[in-house]
Amino acid sequence: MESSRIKILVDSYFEGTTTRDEERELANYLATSDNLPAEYASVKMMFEAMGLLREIEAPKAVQQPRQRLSWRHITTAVTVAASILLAIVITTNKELYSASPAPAIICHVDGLYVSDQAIAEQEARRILGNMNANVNLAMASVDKINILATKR
Amino acid sequence: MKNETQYIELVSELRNTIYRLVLSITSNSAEAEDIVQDVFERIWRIRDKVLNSTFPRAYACRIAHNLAIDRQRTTARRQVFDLNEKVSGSNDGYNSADLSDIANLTRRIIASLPEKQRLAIHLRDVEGYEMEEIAEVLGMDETNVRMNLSRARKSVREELTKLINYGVKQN
Repeated sequence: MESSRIKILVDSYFEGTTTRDEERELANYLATSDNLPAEYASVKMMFEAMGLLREIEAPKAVQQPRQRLSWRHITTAVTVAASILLAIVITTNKELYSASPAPAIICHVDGLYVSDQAIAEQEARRILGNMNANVNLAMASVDKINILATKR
Repeated sequence: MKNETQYIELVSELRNTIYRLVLSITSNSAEAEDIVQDVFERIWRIRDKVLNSTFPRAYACRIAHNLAIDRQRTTARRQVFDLNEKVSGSNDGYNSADLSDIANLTRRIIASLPEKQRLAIHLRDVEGYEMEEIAEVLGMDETNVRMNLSRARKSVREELTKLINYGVKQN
């Protein structure tokens, strides 16, 4: 390459006005020239350094972007979670879905649960009867007291 | 679905470019890795906008640049980045200095440049972007891009010339 051509290319390069083709032409000359003028040593150094910097590759860790979540992934996950939750609720609350109806009457007699209606009514009457007898006895006692008070 | 495919293609094409760009700003490979992942996530969130832009890779580079600058301001520290494990240099007789050392020095010189100059020279001379793409990233017209590129190149040459002259004096 003629020295005048090199000077034009180098000057244009440092003015920032070279095209990509011209820069490639200049790079090729600098890399292959056997009798490079000393004034262009720094230019050669620049081009070689840039070439080395261009060879740097990203580490493996950044070879792929992090896994992205799409709406499809999210809805699938929500559906699965809801199904699992529903299954847990059903298995831990079996009696709520049992075919047997819940007992209508539940009462507590002498420490025992009684669900039979007839037995529950019988016990209720017995208790009320005892209460009634006790009330009558109490009232009779009150009457005796009044009589005694009146006689004095 | 189509956008997802295009996104993956764009990211695959740009992952090295984005990494190098971010690394040129942070000078810290671990931090650069982290920022690059953030860049990918950001691009994903606005993938329609990026993919439909005139210069998708320029748009992606602008996102990367802005995120890296923001992180740098937050972190407010620099670490030395060793290129030796990444670069296979050859000793071509530059005053007994290894080529990887020259690449390291060049990288540091570029890192010390003003933001616009640093971006212009990196995108042009390292990544090979066209002027109109660089203008898109920098948010300026091509005339200003060339001006920043010119200043950056001259600064790099000046510092490298000092190195060569220093080496000559030593010998």
